Amino acid sequence: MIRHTRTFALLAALSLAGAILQAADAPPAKPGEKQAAIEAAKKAADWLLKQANDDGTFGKIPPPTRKMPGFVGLVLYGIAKSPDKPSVDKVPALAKAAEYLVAVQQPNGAIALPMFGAENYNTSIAIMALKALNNPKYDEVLQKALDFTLSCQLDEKRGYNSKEHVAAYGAFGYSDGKKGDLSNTSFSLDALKAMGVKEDSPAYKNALIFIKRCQDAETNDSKMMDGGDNTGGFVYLPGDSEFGKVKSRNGTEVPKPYGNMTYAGIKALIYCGVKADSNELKDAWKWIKSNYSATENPGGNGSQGYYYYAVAFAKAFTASGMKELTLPDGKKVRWANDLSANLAKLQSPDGSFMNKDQHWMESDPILATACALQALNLCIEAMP
Amino acid sequence: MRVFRLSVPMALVFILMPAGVKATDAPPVKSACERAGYWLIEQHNLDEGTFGKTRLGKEPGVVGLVLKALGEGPRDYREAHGPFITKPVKYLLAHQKENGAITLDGRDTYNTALALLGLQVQHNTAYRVEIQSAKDYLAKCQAKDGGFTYGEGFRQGGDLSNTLFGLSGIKTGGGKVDKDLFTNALDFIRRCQDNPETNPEMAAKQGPGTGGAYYQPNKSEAGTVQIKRGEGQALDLPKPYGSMTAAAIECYLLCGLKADAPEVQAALKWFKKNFSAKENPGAGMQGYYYYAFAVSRALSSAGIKEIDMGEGQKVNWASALADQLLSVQNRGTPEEGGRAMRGSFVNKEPRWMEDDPVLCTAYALATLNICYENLSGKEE
Repeated sequence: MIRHTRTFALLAALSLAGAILQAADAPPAKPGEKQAAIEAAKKAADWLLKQANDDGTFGKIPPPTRKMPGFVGLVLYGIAKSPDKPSVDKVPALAKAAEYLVAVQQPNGAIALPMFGAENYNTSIAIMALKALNNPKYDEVLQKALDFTLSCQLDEKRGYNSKEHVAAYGAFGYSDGKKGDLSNTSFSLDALKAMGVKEDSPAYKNALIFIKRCQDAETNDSKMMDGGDNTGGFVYLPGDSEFGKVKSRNGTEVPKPYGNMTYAGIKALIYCGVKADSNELKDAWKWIKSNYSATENPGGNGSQGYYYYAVAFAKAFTASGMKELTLPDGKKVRWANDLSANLAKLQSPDGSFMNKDQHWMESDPILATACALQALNLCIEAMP
Repeated sequence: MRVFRLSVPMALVFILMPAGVKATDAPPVKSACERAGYWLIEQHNLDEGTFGKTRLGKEPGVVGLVLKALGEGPRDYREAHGPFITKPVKYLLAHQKENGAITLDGRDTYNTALALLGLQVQHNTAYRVEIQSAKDYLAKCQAKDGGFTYGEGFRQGGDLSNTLFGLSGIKTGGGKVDKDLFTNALDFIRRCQDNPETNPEMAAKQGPGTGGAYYQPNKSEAGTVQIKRGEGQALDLPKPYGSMTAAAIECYLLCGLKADAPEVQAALKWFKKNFSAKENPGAGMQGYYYYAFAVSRALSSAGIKEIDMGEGQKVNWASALADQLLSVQNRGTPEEGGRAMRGSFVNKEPRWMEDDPVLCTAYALATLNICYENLSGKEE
């Protein structure tokens, strides 16, 4: 009896050890997972194509919202990068969308509707989309658009200096106006990178000054984030988080870092040439490891902005070249498998996505599906 | 993606928002603040440090009011955020005269006080000397009757509006103030209120005791009310109105009275009968934006959340004011002047310069900031 008990205990201990050992490795990638992600992406792309309107826009939201070039650009970009890589020459809806973006270019180079504002947001996304089509016929339009986006950066030419304007200098914003934030800076850097702006360009150097100032870290020289716990997470702009404030260990109220911006910050740092062994990136990954989630925006508010999050998440991991991440408990995760599996779960049978939380327009299935597709495309690239 | 995140695209929410959505929640108020703030920022003249295209936008008081509104909103725009703050700050400092006044020419009390509030909100110790010297100047704007006038050396008596701004400037940021200044101011404020209990002049005239206040002792900018005195006899008394009654409450509190003081309670009693979120009660749309700012400040300072209008009707003033302001905020439609005006406010009634959108938007934003704080539970 005693012997049996001992054997049982030993077996239990062994199986526990086995469980721990197994946890130390990422679960083996199942061959079906990549295929499932591909199918989900194809279904999303097909659904989006079916929503194409004759004027090059997508969906049924009443104009003018539907006509925002940024929306058209997100859809176009998602489909162009989807597994079938459909060509503009063969899919009329894509050609129309591309022509729409070209047609709304303003004399100053912005790809935007003047009545809407958000000129730089729209232009940055339109650049990504048109550039992804790999067609020299868009070169001139793209160069003008890039010049416009570069003109929007808050630097000396706009009366900003890095010493006084520590919450804004180097940033890009929604418009060609006077305010910047990390989200739009991240979009504009996408555009700069896609257009092959050289690494030694002052645009990156100045953007980097801003990006570092959005981080809850010792390397932040803005004084706008003082009193934080140096968690490594990022906020929307120095001293300002979309999710309010949080008390640090010493009792100071500091802006609350969250996933959307931390992933956007990581990608932005990498695009600005910051190396993987820098304190900024090490700190940022420390935050990600403690807050890793493929199912919601950590630090945020449930499902608010989840599709934005999915894209930011996938872009940051892709930029880093990382396929796996080791969490503080030793567990290894494969981000692309985790994210694509969750997206597949959220997909409607018709291929579309939508967020029940209407923040940031994600209750619009066009926007949500375009984002989900972009995230799935990046997952597929990263899956073996 | 984050399209709805900022002022410009947020306007869409309101275009798409189903009718009847109430602003009782803080988030729509925050969005309205962002749109108003964004519009003001867009009006900044980078070469000069002023706002807008009118002469009024060059007045240090208006520049200061804009800075205060931008600096105390949900986004806390301070010098770190850009030249749209640092340049106006330099503009204000450059317009300080040797006597401490921050002004161009005229309305020195208003200009100096509001400029001072715009500087104070930067929380920048570098301006300590300038702020103190402006406060010292304001103290000299108190007339012999205890009220504040348009500037130093004015012969006529004070008025409740200049008194509100003068006291606000003097009190901002703390610091020592001569006690007599408050004692004399209190005497003056009491004389501007229809409260026989604390205003001997009203007692002598057997005023009705509504608790409302007016511009100067025995003078209202909203006209008179006729009080019947027996058969065939009548007496004209100054007509109380909302902006001055709110100013009286805030002045009393700035002078150190508590919300339970009989003077303050009398004024609150007037609001229980007359509060409106849609007009300056007693004066219609005249001075509506001034009123909105003054009444939100006064009620917030007095710690009032709801006004009991009687018959079971309780009004959450912050919610009611925010609802009203959201409903009249410019949506940028072609009929409203297009996108360039989106987020702004203006009064169709031009009295007291409220045909100027920079002034109205600054008042409206300052009001919305207070509403937002009250609705989101954040203490002022």
